[in-house]
Amino acid sequence: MKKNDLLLIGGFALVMAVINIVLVATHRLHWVGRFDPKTLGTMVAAAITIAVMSQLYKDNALFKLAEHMLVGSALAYGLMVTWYAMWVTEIIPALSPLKTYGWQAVVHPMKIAEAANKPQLLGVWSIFLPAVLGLMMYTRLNKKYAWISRIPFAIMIGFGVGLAIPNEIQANLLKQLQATMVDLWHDPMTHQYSWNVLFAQIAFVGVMATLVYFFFSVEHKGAFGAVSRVGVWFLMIAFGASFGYTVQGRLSLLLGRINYLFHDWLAIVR
Amino acid sequence: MKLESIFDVDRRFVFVGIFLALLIPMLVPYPLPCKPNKDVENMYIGIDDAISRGKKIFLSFEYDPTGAAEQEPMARAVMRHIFSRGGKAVIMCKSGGQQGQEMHQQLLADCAQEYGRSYGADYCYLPYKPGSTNLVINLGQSLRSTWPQDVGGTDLADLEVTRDVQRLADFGYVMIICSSLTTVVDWLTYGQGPYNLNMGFGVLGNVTPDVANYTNSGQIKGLLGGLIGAAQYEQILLDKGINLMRRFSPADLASAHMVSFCSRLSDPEADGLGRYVWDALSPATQAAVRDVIKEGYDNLNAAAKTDIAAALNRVIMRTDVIPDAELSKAKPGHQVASLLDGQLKERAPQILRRLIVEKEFGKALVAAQSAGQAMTWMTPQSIAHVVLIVAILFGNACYLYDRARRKKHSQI
Repeated sequence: MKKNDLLLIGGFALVMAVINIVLVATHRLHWVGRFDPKTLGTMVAAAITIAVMSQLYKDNALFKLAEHMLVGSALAYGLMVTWYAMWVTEIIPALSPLKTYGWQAVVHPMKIAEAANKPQLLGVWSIFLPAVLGLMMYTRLNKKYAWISRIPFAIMIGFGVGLAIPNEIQANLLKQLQATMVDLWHDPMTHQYSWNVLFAQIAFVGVMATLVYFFFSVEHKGAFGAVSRVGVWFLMIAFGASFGYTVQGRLSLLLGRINYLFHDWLAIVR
Repeated sequence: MKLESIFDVDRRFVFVGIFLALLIPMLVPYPLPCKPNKDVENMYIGIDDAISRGKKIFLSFEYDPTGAAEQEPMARAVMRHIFSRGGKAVIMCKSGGQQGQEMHQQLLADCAQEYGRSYGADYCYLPYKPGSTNLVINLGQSLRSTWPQDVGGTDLADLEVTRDVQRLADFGYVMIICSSLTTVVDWLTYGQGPYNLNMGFGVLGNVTPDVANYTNSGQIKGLLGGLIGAAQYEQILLDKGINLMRRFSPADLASAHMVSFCSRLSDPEADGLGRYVWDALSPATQAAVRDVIKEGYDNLNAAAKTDIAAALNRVIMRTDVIPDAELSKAKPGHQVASLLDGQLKERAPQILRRLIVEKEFGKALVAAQSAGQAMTWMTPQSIAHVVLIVAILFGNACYLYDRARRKKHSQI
């Protein structure tokens, strides 16, 4: 780290400390008792928000510091949450029959599971087996034994593909096709021409023209080229709508941060 | 000077422009009314219909502080709707929401307090569990084998709200608040498809156009897309008078007017409502109120605010403080009056009492019928959006003008 970076970080910390002292002194921030973790959290979060936004000016050490803190703390938090949510509450209690019944729990899993009033199909195996498969993935860390990790990966991919193909076809292909293949002249409810019929016609033209655009076995000339050009227009309208929504979404998220800074921290916005 | 030189403007000016376009309207909040679209209405109808059939609602909160600006208002609006109708809900946390568990629980506790609902009987929270597709598959088969216990470690069999539900198909409506298209597809592929669930989604703005395909095909029955989706749901709550049914919560005590509110409460010569509320407060809260007046700023702790909200609620729930004969003092507006004559007739006395209390304490209490966060935020967002569109059009016009001029010069 360069000297200038240290100066920047130190100066920023000093400015933030002064601002926070003023905020507490003017009762815009309420410090309760000797140690107030909630208010301290607000101060730290505000500092990190400003540090991240400083990247808009130019890349700097403050942004990098905030970025590394975010990655580190998110990883640590995720690890601890997963440890408690999976190992402490699921795996360790499920393996407890091993402690009480010893290897009997492995040899006669269903019998022991029933005795422990936890009737599961495979008893301790239902947890033991996936846990072992999960641990096998860590063999990738060692070159000599990395081949072992292919076993859980193969099982996972095989299981995933087997499960996904029928369900994906149903949910993403057939249902979507069904929604396009509707009566293009009459509304199914009123049996007359309506706005819904017009939208169905537009959707039909859009789908066909876009499919033509992606058909590269024929040169895009003449009538085929004209239809393909219509497909490009539909694609552009779709991308435009998507871009508009994305901008709107990003503005909302920025609003959240501005509200945090000016309402929760500085208490200017009421 | 060539118009094209406008493209040489430092990009940081654009950032500052957008920042100001958002900040300035926030300083002067002016919520704009909005017309709910068909997808938002479908979600409202779906949830309402499920509750009227006596079915429970299943929600998955898969958002964290990153997307909270858009998705927390959605969650709040939907929970207010469910609790106001006396519905019961099971809420779970899946991947994407693990860092937001505390805020989920706080939101649920706030909404439950507003409508007098209780944990265990009316709702429960199932803590984060790793996994995505496998969880959806398991939930379709058995809720209790997937989540044997709730966040407090109580067996689901012992909770009233989960006693008679075994799997996803037992719920009347399933609502997912998530951030990615992959999650939506997972739920549709392994939840909605196999079990034919009534399902709705609350998603971030950037995902909305991709998710909208599934509403046309009938797989999704209700969609809240971005902040505008949340604002439209809030508009329905306002139109239907759902907010009017709220009880007072600590969040209704406006910090900016706390000193005048406390002075009004502790006035020794006060009578009627002020005196009743003051006498209902605990000695500790009374001391805290005096402290606010002495210090001159809002330093009330959470316990004192809860105590004050409870005292205000006693006023609106009882008939002896504001007798029925005095309810005409409320003088509701035209829209509220028509609601009270119609669908809110049974709750009219409680609502009128709340309006009288709001009137009595002025700006110190947030009005029940005030716009929600999403509606308030839509104004700055719309202004910033218009500024961006104007900038894009202006940039394009400059570019096209310059190109035409260059062409003309080259011909000469």
